[in-house]
Amino acid sequence: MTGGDMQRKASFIEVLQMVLSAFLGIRKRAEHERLEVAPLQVVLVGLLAAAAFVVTVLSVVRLVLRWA
Amino acid sequence: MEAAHAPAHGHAHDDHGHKPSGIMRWVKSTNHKDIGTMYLWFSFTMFLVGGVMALIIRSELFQPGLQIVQPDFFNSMTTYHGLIMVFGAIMPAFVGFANWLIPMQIGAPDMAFPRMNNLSFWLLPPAAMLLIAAQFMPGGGAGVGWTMYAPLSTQAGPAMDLTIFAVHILGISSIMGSINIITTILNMRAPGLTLMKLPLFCWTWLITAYLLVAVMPVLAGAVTMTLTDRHFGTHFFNAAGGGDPVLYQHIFWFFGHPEVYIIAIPAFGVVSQVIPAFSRKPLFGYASMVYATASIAILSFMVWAHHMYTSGMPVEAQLYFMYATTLIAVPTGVKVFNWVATMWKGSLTFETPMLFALGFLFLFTLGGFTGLVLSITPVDVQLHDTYYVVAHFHYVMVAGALFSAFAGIYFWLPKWTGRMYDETLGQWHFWLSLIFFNVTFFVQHFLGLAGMPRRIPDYALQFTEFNMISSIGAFGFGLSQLLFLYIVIKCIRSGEKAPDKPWDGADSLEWTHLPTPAPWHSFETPPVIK
Repeated sequence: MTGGDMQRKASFIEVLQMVLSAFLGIRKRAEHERLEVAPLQVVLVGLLAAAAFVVTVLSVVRLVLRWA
Repeated sequence: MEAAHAPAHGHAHDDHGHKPSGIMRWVKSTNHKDIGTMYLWFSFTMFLVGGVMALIIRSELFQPGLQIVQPDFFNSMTTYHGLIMVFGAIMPAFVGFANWLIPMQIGAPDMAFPRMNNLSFWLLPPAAMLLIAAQFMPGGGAGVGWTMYAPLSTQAGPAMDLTIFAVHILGISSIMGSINIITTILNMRAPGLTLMKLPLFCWTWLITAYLLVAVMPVLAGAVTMTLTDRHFGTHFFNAAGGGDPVLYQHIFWFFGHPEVYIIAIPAFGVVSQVIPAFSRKPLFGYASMVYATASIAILSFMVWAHHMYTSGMPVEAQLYFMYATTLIAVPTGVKVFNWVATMWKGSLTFETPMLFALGFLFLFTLGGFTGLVLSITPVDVQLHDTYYVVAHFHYVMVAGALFSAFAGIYFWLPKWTGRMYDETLGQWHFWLSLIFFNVTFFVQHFLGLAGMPRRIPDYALQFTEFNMISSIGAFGFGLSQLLFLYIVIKCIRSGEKAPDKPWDGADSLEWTHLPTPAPWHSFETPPVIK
């Protein structure tokens, strides 16, 4: 958010990539602060991804119960 | 940013030579170092109070049958031992670290809101007094467990009201502290110090502060509903009035699980500073450490009901919470891998801070593994509320958070006091703590697997030997901490003068840009970071 060499604003897909790497906990250092990101973007995409995570785990549960 | 550029000379009485003196220096302090010091001494005092309670528990459990205390008093001891250690000892200890270190590590003169900082500390002693005064209320302390489950807590004596009020005050203090930390880190960094250049300790506290702001109001809500159920005719947790006691458990653990990480994440931060310094290598995978910490924080909100498998829930929910919980092992594994990889091919030395960090790494991982065992629903149904759980969370809280706090204190004590601690005594403190910790808590796994329930003053005969071993270990561990007190006092009074940078591999701003001991205002002009 500081620093002068930031050019482009991050697209939705790029913000999603950032958030998903936060979920896994792995990311390259070179990928950092390459793009301009608004905090609100990250928060919204984060909430979306969290909801998607819950839905995914719940779907796995449903599948498991159907096979049981 | 502008605030950080302004010199800190606004008030004449803030100048170096003109500190307020005597007791008023502490009562009215707005200085981050003084307030940090008060937090640390407060938490050590509460650590001793909570420790004495633990020793009362272990004395009673030395033998089967009732020898020393009555069951009600025993229940009160387990309750307040938990509350005091979590809210009075561990959390304030890490807020003390945050106060001392964050301004120094980001190149700022002080915290963003110094007066609020003063208030958030001075709320703690009244809360502690309430928790201690609760013991002397009619009917004694509230023996409801630190989780304060309804309906026990809605029926307990007047001590419960003091406890509820104490929790409210502690919550307000934590929220104010968090607001201060978030604002300081986001707005007062030195020019050029981008977020991804922050020392990991600052990152972990930034994430922890968000967790605190998110969940402390939830706890306040839970205990407020308990209070209105007790006195104002509501029935939130009363089934007879249309409420639900299990609702309390859901609300409590929605706070309680992130709380585990509120305690653990700053500990990760300390260890992530100490291990690279004594490996003389930069932290392996800095970025993934930041992301893994964020990941753990996010996941911590989605797993709360794994504390309640036996309270009754649909099998679908049990499976969801089981799967989600086991997934936390992924980012935690990333962190443990990174710490080990940091040491790989490093020039390692084993001074006391490094020893405690390694003790943390080894034993916290063990506590993580038993957590993974407990996350499996059918296993947990067997082990719920047994000593296996007690062993598990003491590996996380004591060997995790407390060992990391010790590592941090030995690491930064030279910078704080200007003097070195006694290395030989420090190493004695480590080995005594490590051995007695395991003597105390490792055997509790066996007790739990054999079926000994937690929170009982008396037990069946077959549990005697392991309980005796555990009690001996507990007294050894407790006495070892008096050695720690002696080491710290000796360091402050007569330690050898410390150089500006006593540790070869330490590379954050407090070591590279500040003299030892650190000046009254950390950075009056911010350093420029490239």
